[in-house]
Amino acid sequence: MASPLKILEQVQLLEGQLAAFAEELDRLRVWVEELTEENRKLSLENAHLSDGTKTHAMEKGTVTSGEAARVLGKLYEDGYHICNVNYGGLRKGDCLFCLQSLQRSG
Amino acid sequence: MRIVVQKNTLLQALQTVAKAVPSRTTKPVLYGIHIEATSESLILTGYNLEFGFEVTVTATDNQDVPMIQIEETGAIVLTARYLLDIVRKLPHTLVRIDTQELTATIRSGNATYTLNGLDPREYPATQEIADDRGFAISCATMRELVERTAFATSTSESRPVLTGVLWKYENGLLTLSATDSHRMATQGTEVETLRDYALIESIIPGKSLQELAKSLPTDDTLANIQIEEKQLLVSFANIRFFSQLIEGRYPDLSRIIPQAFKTSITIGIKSLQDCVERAALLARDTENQIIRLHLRRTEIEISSHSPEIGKIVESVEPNTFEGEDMVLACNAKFLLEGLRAIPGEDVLIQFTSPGSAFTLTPTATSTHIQLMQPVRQVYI
Repeated sequence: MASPLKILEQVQLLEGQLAAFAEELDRLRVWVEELTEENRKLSLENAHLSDGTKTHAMEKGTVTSGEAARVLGKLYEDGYHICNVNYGGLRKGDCLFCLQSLQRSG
Repeated sequence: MRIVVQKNTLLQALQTVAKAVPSRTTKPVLYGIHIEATSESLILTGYNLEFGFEVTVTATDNQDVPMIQIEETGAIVLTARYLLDIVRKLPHTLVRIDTQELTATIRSGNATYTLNGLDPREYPATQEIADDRGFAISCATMRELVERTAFATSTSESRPVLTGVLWKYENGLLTLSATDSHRMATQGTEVETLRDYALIESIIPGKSLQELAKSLPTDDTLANIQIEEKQLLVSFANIRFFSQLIEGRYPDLSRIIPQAFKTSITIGIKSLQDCVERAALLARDTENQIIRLHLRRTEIEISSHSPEIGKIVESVEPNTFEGEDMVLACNAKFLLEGLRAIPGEDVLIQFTSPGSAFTLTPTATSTHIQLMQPVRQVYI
């Protein structure tokens, strides 16, 4: 028979692992929520953009660099990162890198 | 293992290594402190898979005062939480630790503790770095480098590289920089190296560095720094600190620092800090902790407004003012953390526009620069 000490150790080990699992699960849950939200916004944005591009393509043949800057600016104003550090990520507050890219392209 | 050690020496060593013992981990052996007696010294290690501390107690100290007596070599892992409390409360100035397989007997005065230990073979081995590479700076400078940068690291795991501090060595200058994409802080220092190195760039977790800074003495003791491919090693006095690096590419910071300014002010750090703290009281519940700065030639008006609670307006006089009047809003918490990191009595703040980043630098010549992004908003 295993000694009580061994069993206790085993239980402690399991407890530790369980806590870690729960934590991991929590983290994943939050992540899934974030992703779902981001996905929703992106789909919306995508729909907007493809509509925009269609009408745009009809109006104008090629996209000029000024146009690219405008689109980037709009994306930024809509709440997304446009910097290469976190391109397309949801933005909270102004981002030093995005503003720098905007300044450069604008 | 059979050793006799001074209680205070042991306690001091335990307190240092316990900082690296994790409060939660999937590897239970890490809840313990690895204690190893070699023929010349006692080595204690605490590690949490991200960073660790290792303290070596040699048989005699600098003044030849005996610190430990090693009768038999060996190793054991003992749970940090209990060990620390036990040693703190031991009745006598000398402690004897004997181990038999995985059980340790700790005797001091008339008290005898018998503790169940863990297998030292399960404890992760720390990577040996046997090389003369690296550079040396004083602990006080090292501390400054970390304290003036690490606060600006990001706490969000979404972009792991931003949770770290970038260490860059180039042409005899070691520069630490950190940013969370809303603000940035950088501090450099000249270092002497044994050899000439090309550019070294590493990203080291901000949290590890903050723990390191707390343990560094404030005097001129030399700290030896070695940056390897996978880890950073800082050795000072009898302590070795090691930290994992963060993999990835750090964004280019050189281009985000504005070069031309419209408004420059110098102002007393203490008076500005007090003023911002008072304004922050009404802003602390809002998401960005927004305070408004109205820059005028004669006074800097700082205000904060919360629809439910009320508002505060306070003005503070700048020492010098150059350029145009300006109104902008910024995050009070960021501004306070930034001001705290600036050495000296006065700060030079340079603004470009209400929508672009402003810089904070000490008025004396220094390699410290901070950048802060104002909050764009409709002004009240």
